[in-house]
Amino acid sequence: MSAERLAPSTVAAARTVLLVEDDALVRLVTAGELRDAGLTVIEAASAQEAYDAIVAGLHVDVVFTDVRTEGTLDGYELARMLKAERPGLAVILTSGHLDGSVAALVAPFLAKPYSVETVIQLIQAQFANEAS
Amino acid sequence: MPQAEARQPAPTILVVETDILVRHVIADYLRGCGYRVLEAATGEEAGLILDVEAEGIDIVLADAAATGDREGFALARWLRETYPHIDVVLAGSPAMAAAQATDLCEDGPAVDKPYQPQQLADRIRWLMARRGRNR
Repeated sequence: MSAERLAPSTVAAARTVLLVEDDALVRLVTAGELRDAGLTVIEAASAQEAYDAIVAGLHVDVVFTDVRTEGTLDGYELARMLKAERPGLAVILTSGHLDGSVAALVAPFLAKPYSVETVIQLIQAQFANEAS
Repeated sequence: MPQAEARQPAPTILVVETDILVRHVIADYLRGCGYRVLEAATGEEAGLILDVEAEGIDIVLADAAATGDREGFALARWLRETYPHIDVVLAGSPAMAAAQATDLCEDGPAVDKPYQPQQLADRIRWLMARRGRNR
């Protein structure tokens, strides 16, 4: 199923995803598919950039971050910081290397490679949890 | 009956900008003007994207101060030599990037423009000030 067929009716309108991915091509493709699905996407090339965007006040509904990102702050640490500082903000972790059971202690985890449909389902689940 | 004209794809702009706040606001604004927009955080990232997408990219709007091995001016020189079909627009500051983006927006495919040029520069300045205060 294509991302376009999933949305925008099924993805809440005007939801904003902060996508944190240091592989420019993976980020480009994922961001494009999420936009095709009706989501607004802010692209961050590092966890530090993502944190900067949040503290600057850019509106974000969910953070979808790779665990291993370049720089001193990685995606796992970003998730831990956001959980402490912004407990209402949904975070989803992804990695092609990490054991998911470790990451899942901090936030929902999606193993790479993933399909955009699975990402959208997880995002919807976060919003459903938020609403209940 | 004449055949329906095939719809032209939206022109594509690659925004190369180190600062996420400037990059996101400019990219979002240009999308609102009807462009397809790709984003790169560094000159190296721009090179990776151009390696696979160059044929589909019409304009590169680059931060002249982009860091790394391929900083803004080097990126522009490389682009003009390697991909002469791509128009290169260099900006030396966030305010200049906002001004360049509003010029592009005037030529953009969307009829309804998202907001006035000064609002774009003001929004970037406001976000950067908030980040500085809250760090």
